[in-house]
Amino acid sequence: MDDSEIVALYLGRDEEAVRQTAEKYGSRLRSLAYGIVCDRQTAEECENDTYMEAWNTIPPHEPESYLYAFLARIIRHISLNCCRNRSRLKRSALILELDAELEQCIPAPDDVECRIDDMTLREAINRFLGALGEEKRNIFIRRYWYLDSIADISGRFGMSGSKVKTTLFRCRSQLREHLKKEGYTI
Amino acid sequence: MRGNELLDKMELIDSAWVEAADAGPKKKRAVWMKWTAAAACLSLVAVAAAFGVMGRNADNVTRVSLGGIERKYKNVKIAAGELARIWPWEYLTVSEQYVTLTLNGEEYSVRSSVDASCIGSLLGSFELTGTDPYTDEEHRMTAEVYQIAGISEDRLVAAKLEGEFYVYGRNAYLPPADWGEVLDDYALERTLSFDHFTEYDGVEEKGHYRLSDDEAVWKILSACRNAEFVAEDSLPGGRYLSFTVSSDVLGVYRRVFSVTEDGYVWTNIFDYAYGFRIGKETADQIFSCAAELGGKAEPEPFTDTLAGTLTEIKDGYLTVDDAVLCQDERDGMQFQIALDDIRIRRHIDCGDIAVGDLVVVSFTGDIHVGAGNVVGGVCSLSRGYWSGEELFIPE
Repeated sequence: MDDSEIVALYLGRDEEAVRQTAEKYGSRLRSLAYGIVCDRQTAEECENDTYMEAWNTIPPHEPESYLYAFLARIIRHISLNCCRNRSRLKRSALILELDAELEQCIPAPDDVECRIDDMTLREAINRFLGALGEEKRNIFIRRYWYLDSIADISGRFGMSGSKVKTTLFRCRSQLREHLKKEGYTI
Repeated sequence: MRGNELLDKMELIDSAWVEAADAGPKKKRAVWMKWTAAAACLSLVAVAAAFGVMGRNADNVTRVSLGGIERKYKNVKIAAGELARIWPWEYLTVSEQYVTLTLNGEEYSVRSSVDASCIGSLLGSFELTGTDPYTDEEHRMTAEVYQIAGISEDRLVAAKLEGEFYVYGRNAYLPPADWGEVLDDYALERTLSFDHFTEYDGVEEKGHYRLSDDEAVWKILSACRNAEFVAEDSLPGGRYLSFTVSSDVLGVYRRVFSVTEDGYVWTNIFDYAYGFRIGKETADQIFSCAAELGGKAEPEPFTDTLAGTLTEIKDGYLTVDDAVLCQDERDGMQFQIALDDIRIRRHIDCGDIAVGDLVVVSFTGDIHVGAGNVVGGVCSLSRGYWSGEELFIPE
């Protein structure tokens, strides 16, 4: 079934929507969640919560042309929160580390008054990523979107761990400079 | 905004790029990197047991061995990985700075230090380079480069940096014709020994063993010099013995050398995944030999690890107190970590770790009790995170 038909089922409040979603994207979503939480049972819970969230948010959203991206974003969010809330998950330590790494990209991390709206931040981040070469962009996304370990990224891109760390370090420095130069105070 | 919020906001990344990153290309070196990843996974498991668990009793106290010292800890688990931390140039060791050597137009990458007794004849002075990750400035230096006794300079050489020798391995992918070629090029019979091994059946771990003597294994392996090189990109399957091998001379630490029941050896000691078809009969001989000479052993951690609270920094040492891990905090013991190694000192100098922090120390030496629990062979210091009953070391 194509995505627009599945979304139509959601919009028509037909529970078949969830079954069709699970059939088409279940394993990809589960594997994405597993990559973040590293716990099979928790990944399954995240997958089920994702279907629930999709059910609750379509409508008003109508992601006919980007259903997988829509679901992936939901499951990332749920999985990330799961790691933060369930300290028994080993991955909670990695999340703390990733938080610390990304804090290096923020020009004014202590300034609670400074905020940037999602639309502007989306443009800023995507413009920054657009200026990166393909490989660097993919490495950045693997680390900070998929929350991959350095070893996993090394394996995927066939480079040493130290090279991955250096690449990420440079990307973070460049993002910080990009945000500063463009006048964002986040 | 804080780092955790920005991590959340990464969901704003264009979905097309997110999908593209999921389909990322795999390169040739992924062959051996898979092994590295596998080794990293193994090290996670190993480090989980890095305290050398000796036994648990009913009141949930775990007896652990720290470099030979027995400690009684609460039920503790550790997950370890690598820190995604980049140090300023001045806080890098010389071998971390000058990572590339160019010799006769070929690039070699640094591996590890090697004892002067293994050094052969002088090949000449050649250029080493390294890049400051903060400024992108390229640094160059000239160093004396030596042959490593018995090993082809086409594969490995040693450079003398600040009075110490470091192994550099050639980067190019140069698959050998057969097993005999690597035996000769790397003088393997002399440079590699087999000791600890794990038996696997597929992914299932069947047991850990230690060979009382590896001479018989080498005799079998030396007799199959014609075993052809196998280029398939696959990890061992079925039943196999996985030896953990380290060699200062080859510049490798805790790599994998596997013998499969169906007649292959696979190893990542040459950086790339190398396989050789030794034949089922030869593999059977090695299995028999391992069964005969292998005694039951504990799993080996990647390095020994101790954890505790950083309580003091003075007189060139920092002090780590493990009371926080003890069932009764009054049983806490203090350990001294020398600050003369830049890999330790940089954490303090750069303000990453301070008094009061929970830390994890990896070490490969002994703990010198008589000298006040001075920990030998310390190779890394990391911040640890408490989480319930478990202690985590971030990547």
